[in-house]
Amino acid sequence: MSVRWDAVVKNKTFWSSRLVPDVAAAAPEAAVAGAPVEVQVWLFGGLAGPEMTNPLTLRFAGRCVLRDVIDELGRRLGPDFLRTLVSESGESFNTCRVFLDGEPAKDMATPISGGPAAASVEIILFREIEGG
Amino acid sequence: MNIASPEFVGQRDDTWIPSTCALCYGTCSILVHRVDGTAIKIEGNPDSAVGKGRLCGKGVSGLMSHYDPNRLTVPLRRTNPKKGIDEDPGWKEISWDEALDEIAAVLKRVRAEDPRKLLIQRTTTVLAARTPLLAFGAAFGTPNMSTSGGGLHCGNGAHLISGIMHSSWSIVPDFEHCNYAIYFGASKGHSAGHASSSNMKLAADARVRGMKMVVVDPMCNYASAKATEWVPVRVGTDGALALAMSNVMVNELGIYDGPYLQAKTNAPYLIGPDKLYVRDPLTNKPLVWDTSAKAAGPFTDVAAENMALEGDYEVKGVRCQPAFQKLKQHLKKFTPEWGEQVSTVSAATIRRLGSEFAREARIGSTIVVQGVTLPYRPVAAIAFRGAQGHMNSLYNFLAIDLLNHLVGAADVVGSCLGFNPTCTGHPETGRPYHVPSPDPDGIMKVGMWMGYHLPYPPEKARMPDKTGLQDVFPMGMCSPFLESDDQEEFWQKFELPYRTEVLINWGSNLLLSIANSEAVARSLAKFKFMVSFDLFLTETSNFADIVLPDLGYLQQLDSRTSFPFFFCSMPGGMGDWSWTIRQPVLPPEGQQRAFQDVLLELADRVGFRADYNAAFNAALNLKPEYRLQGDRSYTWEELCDAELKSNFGPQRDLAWFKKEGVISWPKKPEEIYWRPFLDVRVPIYWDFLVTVGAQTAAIAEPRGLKIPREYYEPLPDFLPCLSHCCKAPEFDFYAFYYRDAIHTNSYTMENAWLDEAARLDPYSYTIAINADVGRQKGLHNGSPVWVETETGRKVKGRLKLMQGIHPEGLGIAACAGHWTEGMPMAKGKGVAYNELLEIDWNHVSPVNLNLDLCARVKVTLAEGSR
Repeated sequence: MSVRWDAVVKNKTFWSSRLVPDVAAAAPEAAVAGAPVEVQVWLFGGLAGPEMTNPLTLRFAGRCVLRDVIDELGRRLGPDFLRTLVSESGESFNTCRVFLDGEPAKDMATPISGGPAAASVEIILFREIEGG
Repeated sequence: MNIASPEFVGQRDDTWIPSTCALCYGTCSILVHRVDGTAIKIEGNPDSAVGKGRLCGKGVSGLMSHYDPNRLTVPLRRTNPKKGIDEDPGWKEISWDEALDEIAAVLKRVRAEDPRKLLIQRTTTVLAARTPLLAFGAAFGTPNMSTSGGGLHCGNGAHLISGIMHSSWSIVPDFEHCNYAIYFGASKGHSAGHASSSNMKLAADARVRGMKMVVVDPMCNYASAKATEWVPVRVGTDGALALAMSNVMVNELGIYDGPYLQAKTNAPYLIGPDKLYVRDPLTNKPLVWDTSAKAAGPFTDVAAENMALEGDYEVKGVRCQPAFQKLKQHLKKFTPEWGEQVSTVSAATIRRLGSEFAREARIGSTIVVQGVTLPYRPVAAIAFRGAQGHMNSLYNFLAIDLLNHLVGAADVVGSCLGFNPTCTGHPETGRPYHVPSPDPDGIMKVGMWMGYHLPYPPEKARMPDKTGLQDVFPMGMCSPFLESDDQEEFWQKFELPYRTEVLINWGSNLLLSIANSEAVARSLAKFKFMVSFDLFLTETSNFADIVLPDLGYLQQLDSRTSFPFFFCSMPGGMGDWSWTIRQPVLPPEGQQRAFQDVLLELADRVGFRADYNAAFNAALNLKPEYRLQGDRSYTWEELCDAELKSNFGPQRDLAWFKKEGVISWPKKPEEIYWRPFLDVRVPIYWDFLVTVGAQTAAIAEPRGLKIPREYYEPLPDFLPCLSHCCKAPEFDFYAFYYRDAIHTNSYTMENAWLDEAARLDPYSYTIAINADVGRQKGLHNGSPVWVETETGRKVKGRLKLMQGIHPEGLGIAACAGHWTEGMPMAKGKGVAYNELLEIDWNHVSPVNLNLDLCARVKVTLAEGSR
């Protein structure tokens, strides 16, 4: 009982050294702190209503994170829309897939940096449940 | 047999083509021998880890499914608007343009009105169909999709708990190193399904090596017949036996892996009077009792070896105990004598099994694998469809898996393995990559899963958006409310704001695979429009408005045939990873078309190609340079090419894979025996279930639906099925079905070779009962009998008396009883077990929605027999 169960294991960093680089690390170096950020938001599937503009262009005064984009979408498209994306704790559902410039966004704190081209955020829901 | 394909006849054609089987979801890699345009032989592909060069009898027989003259070759339109089991659809041939025009018009209307009105059903038999259909549903905007081949029966308990406890779809022994495996209603390595051909070799080698295999099952068939010991158990009581074994281990023998429980589970987390974690007011982290500091602290701040597992404590005025203390006390009521009363397994046997399992675990031992020192626990408790196919689905499976966690036999050498939740990817690309991670409470979230509705943390119960009502019951997966008798009552009760109107069916035969066909037929007839992609005119396709002739697996292209290969096809344990494809060996016949290309064309016609492209980008996890752009039209072949290059580099495109068939690379010990390397814990105490129960009750009970809270307690219990509560003396059998190794769901009964094998098999098409019991009742081999439930549902068949079945058991092979003219080989074969099953709220688990698959029945001689 005095020996930690996994104390026999060496190379404890095996997995941490193999983490897929997140989008934060890949944010463009050209980003200038404080520069305005333009984000084009593409909504797909059930998120895109027939009368909805797609993409939506959002502008932020400075460096922002994905949560800012989702919050702004909630303001523009209403609380019902927001509830399909995020839980009460404010974190996005597993069923909500968000891509920033083509890469899967790790979480709501993923930074979005300004650059010569607008950042692209794509959102689609995979709500189906399966078994088998 | 069809004539040879003309495009191959002009020149000498004699080639072996690598591809993938689809006779079950094992998706074994195959080599198909084609001579002058005719496929003449199928063998296993030794270059692939998926099957390891082996192929079962079903795989070999795929030729007969392909060359079946009853295959659909033209699109068909129904002319009789009335739908029913006995209704003639009045089929007429139509062109693809006519078919797609009509389908697109319906889909366009429905998508504009409310995309949730579309339901997509698919069979489980062909895994590769999952991604195009899943992406189609997401792009269309519907949350309603389900699988029916394994349907409700497959594993609402098995998959949920394998996910939460092993980050996997299912569990299997580490055959190479396991010394003692105990199976509860499972057949891994001895029948079909998950990694079937690979597991067959691994299991056989393990038995030759001396692995003791104990099989707890009402019937001595696939796994039991090869076991060291068969333990006949009363149907549906596996969980009771496991709980009694746990009591023996913990309370009678005092054998458990304390360091594992401290470091890798929530066993040390303090539990308050409200049954929930006691939390640190500053950080909200669960508290543990630090035996060194003699004070409570957040679990992240206390060394695992100092975390108390037992005792009573007080933290800021709150009386609390470690979760393990709660479990230990809870287990005391499950004495072996109690276990004997419930399961019919003697108390002495229960004590012996508990003792063997605990001692064989060799707690504290280590082993070196490929130079890496690892914990060694060479025991595994495995369950699957049988044990969890009941009202008590969740607790039955959890109780069995608890055996593994008590002795630290989880995802370490020799133990119970999830297969395969971690992968660092191909050495050159790091793809595919998956690894579990901890939530804020330190509890494991799966790294990869079949769907995006993850097992943990459970979503908060809320008013429904899905017709299956899984929003209200977040622990549920497959739902009975898609077909149940009381679906409308429940939709009204929970104020579902729409009704499904359109069904797209891909290859599933719901009328054979779910429950009594009357209920399923009523649910099918409600759809205003139904389109079915199919190989044959099945019973279910006869309810469609339009039937589309699909390609068979020897004609299909797919870039991810064994996806999600971590779960279903790749064997557990060391060896290789393999990524496989399926490619056309033979051309389409008549007007058959690949359903993937049809779906792509429908997206164009309806006007959501950009959404479909985006859904594929997400579902295939394409790298930015391979993502599909805007609303550009891509062919299915182009999508497959993009996925392969995205995962394995530009040099390994579709052409490369068509030549090679498979890419393989070696597994690492840290991937397979990942548990010690990752700082994640699993819950032996399900505190979250209390919360989910309260949430569900808060929605349901004001609407008149009582939620039985005993199903939402944090520790497993034995809760009887309705069949266990039947007191009528003439109903003296527990009926159950088993998955026949010869057949896959209902589909293969149309295969000539498999049908012949099943007719030669004494059990495939008969009703098995215990020989001594049968003789006492004056019943004989071959006697025609009625099997009847308390509710008056009955099926007819011929008896087969056998010694290897529990005296109270009545076993029938699954999914038989075809009646359609479109499958003449299958018609009239076997016994339709599912006709005995009710499908309503009273017959499902109120926590994970698993349908109760057993029934108390009486057996009477049919008229005209002696």
